[in-house]
Amino acid sequence: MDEPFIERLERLEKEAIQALSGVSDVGALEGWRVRFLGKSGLLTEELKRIGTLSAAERPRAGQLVNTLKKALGEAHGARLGVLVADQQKAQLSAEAVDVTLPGRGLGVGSLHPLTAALRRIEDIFAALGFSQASGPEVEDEFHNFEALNIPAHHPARAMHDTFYLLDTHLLRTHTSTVQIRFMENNTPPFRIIAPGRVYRADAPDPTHSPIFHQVEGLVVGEGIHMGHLKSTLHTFLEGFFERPLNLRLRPSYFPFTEPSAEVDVSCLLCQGVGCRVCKGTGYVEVLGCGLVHPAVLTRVGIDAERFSGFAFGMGVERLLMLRDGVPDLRLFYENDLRFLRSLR
Amino acid sequence: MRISETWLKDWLDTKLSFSELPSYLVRGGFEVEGSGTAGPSLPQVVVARIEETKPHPDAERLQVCRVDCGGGVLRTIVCGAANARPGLVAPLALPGAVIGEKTIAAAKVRGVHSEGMLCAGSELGLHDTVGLWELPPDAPLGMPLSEYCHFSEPYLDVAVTPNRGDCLSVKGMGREIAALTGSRYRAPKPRITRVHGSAPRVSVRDAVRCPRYCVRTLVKIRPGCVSPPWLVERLRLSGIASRHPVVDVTNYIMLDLGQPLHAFDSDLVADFLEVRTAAAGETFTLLDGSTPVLTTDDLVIADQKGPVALAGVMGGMRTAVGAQTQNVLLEAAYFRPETLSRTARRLGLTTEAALRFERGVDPELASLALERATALIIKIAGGQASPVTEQAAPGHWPKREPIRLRFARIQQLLGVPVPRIQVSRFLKALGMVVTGSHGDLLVMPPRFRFDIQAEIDLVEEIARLWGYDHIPAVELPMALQTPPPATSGMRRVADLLCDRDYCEAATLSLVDPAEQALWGFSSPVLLRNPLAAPWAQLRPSLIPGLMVAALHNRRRQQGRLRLFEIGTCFAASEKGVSEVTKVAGLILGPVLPEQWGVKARGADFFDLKGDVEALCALAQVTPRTVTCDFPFLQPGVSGALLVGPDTVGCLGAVSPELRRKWGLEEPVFVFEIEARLWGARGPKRAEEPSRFPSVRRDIALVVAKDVTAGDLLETVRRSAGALLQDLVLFDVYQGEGLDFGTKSLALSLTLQDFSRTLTDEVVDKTMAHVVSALKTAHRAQLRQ
Repeated sequence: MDEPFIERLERLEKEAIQALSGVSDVGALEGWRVRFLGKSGLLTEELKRIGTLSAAERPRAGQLVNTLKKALGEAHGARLGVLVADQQKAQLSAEAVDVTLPGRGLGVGSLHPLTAALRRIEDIFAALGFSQASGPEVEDEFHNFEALNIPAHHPARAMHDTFYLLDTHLLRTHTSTVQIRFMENNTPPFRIIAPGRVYRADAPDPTHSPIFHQVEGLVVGEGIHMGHLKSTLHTFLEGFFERPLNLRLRPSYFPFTEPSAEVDVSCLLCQGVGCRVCKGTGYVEVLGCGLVHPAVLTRVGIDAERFSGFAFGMGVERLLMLRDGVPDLRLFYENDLRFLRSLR
Repeated sequence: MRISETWLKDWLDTKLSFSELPSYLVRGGFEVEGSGTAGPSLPQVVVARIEETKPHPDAERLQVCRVDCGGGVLRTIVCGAANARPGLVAPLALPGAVIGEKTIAAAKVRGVHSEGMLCAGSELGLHDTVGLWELPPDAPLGMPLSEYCHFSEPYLDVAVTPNRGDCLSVKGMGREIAALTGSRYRAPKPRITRVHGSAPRVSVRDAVRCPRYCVRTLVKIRPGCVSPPWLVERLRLSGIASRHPVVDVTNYIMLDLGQPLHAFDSDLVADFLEVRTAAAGETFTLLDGSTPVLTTDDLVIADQKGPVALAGVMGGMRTAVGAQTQNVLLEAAYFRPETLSRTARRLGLTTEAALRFERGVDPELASLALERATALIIKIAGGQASPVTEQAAPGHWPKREPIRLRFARIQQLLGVPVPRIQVSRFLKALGMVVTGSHGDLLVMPPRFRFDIQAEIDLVEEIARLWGYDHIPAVELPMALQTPPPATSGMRRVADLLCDRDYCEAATLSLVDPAEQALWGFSSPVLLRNPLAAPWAQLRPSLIPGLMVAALHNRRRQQGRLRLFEIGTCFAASEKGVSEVTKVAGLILGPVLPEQWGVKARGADFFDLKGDVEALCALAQVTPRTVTCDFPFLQPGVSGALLVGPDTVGCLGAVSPELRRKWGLEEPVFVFEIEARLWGARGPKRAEEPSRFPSVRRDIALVVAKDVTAGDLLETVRRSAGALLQDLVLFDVYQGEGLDFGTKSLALSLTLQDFSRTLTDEVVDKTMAHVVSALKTAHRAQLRQ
């Protein structure tokens, strides 16, 4: 065998392997392939030279060339795999971002705490089968007072410092007006709540505001009694305050309910031990309620012998102050973004 | 109502301690609003008597007193009070006593050694006295003042609801507590006073409004008497200052029994008293110095010169009892609550007497009160009593009728059977006369319970004494009468605004009329009795309130604001006042929160309009925006939202003039839309998407600058017909390459058919039709 042929092949192999190790991207690898394995590459040239060899040498030479071709082909394949992987890796790394950078776009707004609380109240009562009713904020004496057993000279009128318009109308001092408006137009049985704004001539201070929100409740049907009132309020209050509570009903006086009661719950801050919020009593007052006075039913044409019912009214701001620790009622109407967002 | 332990004991015999009472009171419907001791402890302050006085050698206004504070030891006290005189008994603060902030020590006063300080009532933090507090001559020398005055005695401050006028006295509270605790109520027997001379003449001319009038004369009262400390202290506990023994006794009897009394200086009364209706326009001076103008609705006590008292409300100045008074006319009456209440309310007089008469005073109480007052005055200040003149018309007293009480009704309303024996016991404890024991009961309430008129009132009493705690809670039956309400459309509106980064505000619905006028709102709804001028009108719009909220936050370094509110607005209308629910929003400052990688840009009209359009997409009908001026919006940057011919809202930039008044330099954009836009939608209808491909064609048009995009788009919609699925305006350009006074708008039309694939021919024909319509309507040219 022609000695230089074998040497050349060995040199070629060495050269190819060396060159391959220097190849660092897919383009260069392709150049390498064309140079060594291409149609007019170095290995093809060696293959052509086989014809110039003796017939005895040819099989051996052909075998050598093919072995080399296969080896280089495999080396190429392996290299290509590495390079493609490297390239993908490089691309991914180029696209990587600092995921801890803040996102872009609009922020998120917030419902007013009162709206959120009203929705919560409405949803709890909806689950108890109450529907919603509403009435005007500008009212007449009849719906705000007379129909609710508060005649003109009644001392209870002094409990309501009323705003009057230039004519005979007034701004409702409670949402109890909606009881009357609803009963005038519906026949029992029914269960309603009526949320809304009410007005009292109280100068603003940490616990008073000339404008605040109430939710009125009214249930009228056959066989409705004090026990139903207790249970309904207990379910509602535990739902609203999101914790188990002790309820205490204290006799009180409202002209349009009898028997009347103030409802206290075990103090939300000290759980009944006694603290500053409950003034050491272990209880805080949350709402007023009672059985609908038969005279109120009779006045709107409901048979007070057959039907009985209960009603309740609560101040939404007060409930929220107790639940969320709002220290000053005026915060609800100041609309400071920092406050609004704190209860988001 | 303040009640102290010993005072209550005058009326109540109980084994319970005073500190146990609050829980009974609370369960009985009486809120205990406070408690404490009757007075300060005042260590080292004792009762002392001045034995001799001599002028201070060095100071004209001071005296050097020798004072006996018990045990025969005399102390030297320097004193500046004008009433310091030998024989005077007064409080003495010994060294070590703390008076106000100051600790008393023996010290030299202008060169004379003084071993303490003689005190005035105000110096002890009690009541005002002229000079030293003059104690009765028989006060035990050396006794600590707090012991002498029972300062350590506990008291309770009990709230009495307006229906319980019968509890506005210690007697009434004693009676009530006896019923609540099962203790014994003790009613002391009245002492009958020996009488002299003849009864005074009285004429009651209005027996309907004054169905009982009792009066007597007391003559030869010792001038210069002072009320004993126990009396002064009981009055002070109730916030009433001591004035004159006669006046003090009338006040005391009112607190003790609940019967308001009045005393006239009879030497100042012209001839005789009469009870009559006031003449219209009549006027006189009341004890508080006011001179009300009376109407025929008022009832007065008058003498032959004119009114001397506003019946049951307040006495007059002319016949007031004073230091020189020797003879008095003492009155105890029953007045009808309605009359008196109207008078007191109209004149803004909330006196202790009116408070009680309004809530009802037992007509039978007058004679008892008169006897008790007479005896007490004679004891303190001497004098002789005349027989009582009484004019009574019991026919006009409040009617009392027996009430039928059904046991079944008790259970029906309370949900729990209360044993019959208990029911009877409770009612009797409350002073009711109960007859019938098997079937229904007949119950006669006592005369002092003005609040017991019907069966329900008795049911409440039984519940109260049975205890609300003993009524078991029972769940409402799960009968659903009405389907649960559909989620309110306004909830979705609020949620959408929150999601678009708006914070909801709640602004006051009472606003300043002057400010509303600046905004140009007409038909104001004004209050007759506002708290103050800035709250004198019901808001006509939510926008000014949002502006106030914006300003509040702006002053607190908030640079970017997006606020909204949903609320009621008010306008005067022919039918009275109309109430309209509206949604309003306000944006100010950068469109996006400060962030990296985005160029900051101030919000503009179209950012606001984007939000408004999103809101309108929730409505059943989409309103059109048209150019329209509003007084508070900047002309040219303001529009109205129309549904058909109806304006349902507005949007735009707040007029520069207004916002500068608020001190805001940057533009502020606002919208306000009536909530009726999102009225009930009912169930929706699904739309089947077309299965055929759509075709998009873009055109660029050149039109005169004053052609509005809204009109142009409307023409496209009309002319393109049913094939038009979508229409987008994707560019607006004016400037280089266009003639002056023109602008270019680029539109994309998406066309699609439901029954076939559109051919080029059909699309071309539609486009040609659109372009020709635009040419005709707006002289629009296709831009090359």
